[in-house]
Amino acid sequence: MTALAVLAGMLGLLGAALVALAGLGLIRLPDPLTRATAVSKAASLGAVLVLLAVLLADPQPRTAVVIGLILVAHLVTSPLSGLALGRAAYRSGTARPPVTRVDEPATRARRPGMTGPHAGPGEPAPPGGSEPR
Amino acid sequence: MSGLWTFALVLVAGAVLAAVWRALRGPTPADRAVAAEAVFVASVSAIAILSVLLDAPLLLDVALVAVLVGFLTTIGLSHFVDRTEDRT
Repeated sequence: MTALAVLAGMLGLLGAALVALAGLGLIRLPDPLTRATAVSKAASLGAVLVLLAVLLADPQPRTAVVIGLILVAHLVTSPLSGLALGRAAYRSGTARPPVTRVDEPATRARRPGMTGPHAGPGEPAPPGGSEPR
Repeated sequence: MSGLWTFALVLVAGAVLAAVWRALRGPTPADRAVAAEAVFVASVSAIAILSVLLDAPLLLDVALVAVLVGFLTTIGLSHFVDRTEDRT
């Protein structure tokens, strides 16, 4: 019992350390795309570890159900919100990353048949505006 | 055993402080939206840790609602960032 409590405490501490690492990345990383990466990977994994530690600290059926729901909701929504943030940061042209050399959306827009709002800096804008809203 | 959990709460609070610093510092609206999502994830973790520290399992329901509200708010913020930069 005590061993389980110690394991839960260590797991919770590990998860909180990952969340703190995401905060450190938010301070230290150079552009919005990498910061969104830090938040949507490290902080999400940290939250998952903290929730599993809470389940270990209080192993009741009701806690298991609620934590399962939280985990499913978090694991489904976290990549989506990270993707939405990264896409918005890319489309707002102020987010040109100085250290990130690969510009994959612009490369994909240069392929025939794939025009769209992700055209590169040197590309002419597609006629008729961007995607329908 | 509550010492470990208290230290975990302090770490999460440090992450929230870092995110608030980034939201104040800027420099683009995308940075502020990313900082807002970091605050959401950190607050879900903080609520879960508090449910252990205070021995209140009902707080986990609050964490569930916080996850869903945080997702909707992040999607809304990303649309806002997108449109803000369209005008300039």
